[in-house]
Amino acid sequence: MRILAPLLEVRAVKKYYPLGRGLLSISKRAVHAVDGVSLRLETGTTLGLVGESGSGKTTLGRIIVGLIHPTEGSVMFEGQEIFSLRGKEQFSLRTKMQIIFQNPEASLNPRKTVRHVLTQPFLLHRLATRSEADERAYHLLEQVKLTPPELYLDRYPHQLSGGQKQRVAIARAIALGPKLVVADEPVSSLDMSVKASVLKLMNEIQSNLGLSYFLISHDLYMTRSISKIVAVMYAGRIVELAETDELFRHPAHPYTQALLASTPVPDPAIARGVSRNVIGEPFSPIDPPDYCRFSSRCPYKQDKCLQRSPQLEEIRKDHWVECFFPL
Amino acid sequence: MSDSLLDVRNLRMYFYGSSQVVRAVDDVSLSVREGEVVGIVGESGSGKTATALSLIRLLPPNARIVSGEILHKGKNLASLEETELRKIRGAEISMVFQDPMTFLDPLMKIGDQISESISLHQGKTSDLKVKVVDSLRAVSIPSPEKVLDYYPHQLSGGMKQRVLIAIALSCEPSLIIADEPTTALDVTVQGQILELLKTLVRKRRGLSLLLITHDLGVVAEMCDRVYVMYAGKIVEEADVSSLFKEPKHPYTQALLTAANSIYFVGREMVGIEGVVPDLTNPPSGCRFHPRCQYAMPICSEKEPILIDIGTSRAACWLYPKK
Amino acid sequence: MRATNWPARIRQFWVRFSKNHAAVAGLVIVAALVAVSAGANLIRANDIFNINPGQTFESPSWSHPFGTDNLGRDMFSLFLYAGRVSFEVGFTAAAVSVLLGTLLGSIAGFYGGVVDDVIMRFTEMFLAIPILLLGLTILIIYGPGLSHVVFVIAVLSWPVTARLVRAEFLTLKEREFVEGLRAVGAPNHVIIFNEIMPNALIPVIINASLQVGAAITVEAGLSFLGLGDPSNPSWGYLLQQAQTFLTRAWWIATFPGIGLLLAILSLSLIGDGLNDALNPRLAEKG
Repeated sequence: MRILAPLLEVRAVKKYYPLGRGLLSISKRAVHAVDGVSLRLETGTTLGLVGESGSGKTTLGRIIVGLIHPTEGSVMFEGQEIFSLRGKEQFSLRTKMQIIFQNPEASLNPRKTVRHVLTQPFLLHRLATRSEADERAYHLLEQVKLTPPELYLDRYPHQLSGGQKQRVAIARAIALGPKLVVADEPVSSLDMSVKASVLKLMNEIQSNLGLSYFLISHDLYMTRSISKIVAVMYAGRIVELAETDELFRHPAHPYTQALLASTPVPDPAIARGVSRNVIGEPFSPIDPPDYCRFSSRCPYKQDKCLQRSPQLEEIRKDHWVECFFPL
Repeated sequence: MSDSLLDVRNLRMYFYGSSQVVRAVDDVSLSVREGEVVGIVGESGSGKTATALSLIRLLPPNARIVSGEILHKGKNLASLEETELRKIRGAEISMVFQDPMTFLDPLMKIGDQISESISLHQGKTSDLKVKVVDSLRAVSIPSPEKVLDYYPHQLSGGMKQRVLIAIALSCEPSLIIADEPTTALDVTVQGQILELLKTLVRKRRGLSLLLITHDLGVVAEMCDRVYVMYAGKIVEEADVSSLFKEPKHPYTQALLTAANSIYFVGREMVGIEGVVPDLTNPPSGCRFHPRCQYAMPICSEKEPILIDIGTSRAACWLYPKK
Repeated sequence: MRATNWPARIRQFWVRFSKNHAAVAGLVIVAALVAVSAGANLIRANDIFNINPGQTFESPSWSHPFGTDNLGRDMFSLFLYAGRVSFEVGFTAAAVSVLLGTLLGSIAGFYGGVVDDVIMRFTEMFLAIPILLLGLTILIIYGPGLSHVVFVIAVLSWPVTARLVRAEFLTLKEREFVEGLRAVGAPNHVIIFNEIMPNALIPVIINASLQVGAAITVEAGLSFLGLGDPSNPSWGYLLQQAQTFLTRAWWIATFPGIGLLLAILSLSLIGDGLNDALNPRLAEKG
């Protein structure tokens, strides 16, 4: 019974990076960063995308905000295909989607003050005069709890702590009132005590502004604390997708289980009881095999897994798994 | 403690800038017993890495050990000649770093790097190659004979870290200092490496591990005893179960609450307000007092010392001295 | 309330720069040389073209501190005027070359791909040309003249800056803040010139001080080969003129030579000092 298009719909997106460029290169080898991903995200919710390095999660995030063009597939935002937009429409799309990066050191220009960073979006889009933009920057700092704002407006990034920088990055991201914020590992480079505060802030902002997060992380547990739906990505593909509680209660893909078992939990009683069964190394992302990509590390693999590639299937209501033998 | 393998007493290590002094390690005492896994846990700027590097004096030129003793098997490493110390580094105490590539030579085959390390401390022996293969097998590297001829870039991050551990083990040290050994690795690989370290300590008699980490999960899984560091000082020492069950110092409590609020569902997210203090000019009294919810007048006036509280020890004015 | 803390930054810069004593000495020498040559008219009213047949080859004295030449001209006045010419050529040529190099380098580095390929092949082509040889050719065809000399030097030295700036841009454009700017819709020219450029300028500034010295050297070389502009004599030109009298009047060659040496040495010392003061990696430790 869905009449309106979802806020975000990713349709069969692929991104291949060909190896060896140049006119004379005849090699067809390519890195399959994202290899056929479909997802949807409704207004006001959070989707957590979990994967390890090389899973393609960062590439997918960049594709969603239009920073990278996919090789195949499409990204629909409020029913519009974002890569078909040009000129003014494309420019105004920028106000609706924003991105927060992992590394606060690199995500702010070292030579620009907080004031510059926070007024720029308004000035670029001609939404405010300089003094109005100053006013807005002041309020943004209040929203991200950098108070009193006077103290921070004229600071350079090197005069801020990691957590403060990330708050400035969040302020920039919400400046234009976006509907979707892609957060790529927003807290993974922060200290534990700061992580919790920044996540709390993100939760508050979400309930105040009603925006959606596309949260990218390597940490399944961290994702749980903030996401409604969790998607697990491995080697360019979504291998499991379910509501957060369901996923944690009944992890069905061997990889999801491995992730859960591998994360050291801050409780000796739990942490010492785990046994790990994931062995081996992932396949190279260059021309991956046409059978199950997790088979090289899967403790439960069978002959079938080495013959064909499984497809995402619904094993319970709204619980999708890409495995021939879900657990 | 007579059975201590390593006994550090009142260690101070400062970094000297052109106009200021960073008191990175400020009056730290700790011990590691035989066969024990000891953790030093702290956030950035706590001085945990500086402490680790001070122990074997792998310090940049602007750093100096100002005072204190580092006693290892009757020798004080803090005052030992550099040539004497070199015999201990790698042979008696070895290190595993966060980034294997700070240690591995990119242009040298894995086998050569390991045999170099072995022959450096044991001299060239005829069975060198056997020893190298054995050391790779000990860290569960598949087909070690093949890996001998690999260059570091041909190995994954986890495999490189295994090689680093193999090198650290190759001279049968009594202590391995591991500084964030799994932080740069993927979760599933991190699990494998932790597993490996755990098995090694359990299997090799007389091997102890000093694990430096920011990750309370790693502490919970690995350590027997834990030191919590904040702003260059140890604020709490406890065995691992007491630490997680009944943290004593407000900083430890706050850190655990923050971690639990992320790792366990249904808890309200709580961080610690404020920022880590500047170690060139640390707060007076207890260094945590500006961020502490229990701060009292005395906290900014007098520095608390570590006192026994049950089986733990903590440096906090909340606990009256008996 | 727009408190840009420029004064603080300049003070900080000076604190770091002044730690390098050689660089400070270099700066003092260059400043002195520039000042006296710029004020040549005030210091010495003697017309440099004033020929005095009665005073040829006079050795240094109170009235002629640097002696006189074969035409009886006051060498001190000549030294000052020639210094002005040398510095003019040095600074203008360096300015043009740095501007050109920065522009092309930033575009190549930022856009990458085909744009980069084309610009960089072009750059390499220029780098492959022997600078004196092309200089000679151009000056022989078009005749001597200060503007020709400046043109030759600028055109042949921009590739150095271009490669520097390109390298900076290549790393800077990968930084996440650039993606963040794209995400808020900042157009490329804003990203290149307002955002990335300030981060890329440090090596350019350091290099510029070396470029001035290099330009003065090349100009001297061209003049020495007889392609100087007789109506605008530079130190190199004076040296060339002095060749014939080396054994007879040491002072004619010596003073312009010392001028050149001091200028070039000092400029490179300044470059060193700038590197110490501006290089963030070194600055961290301070």
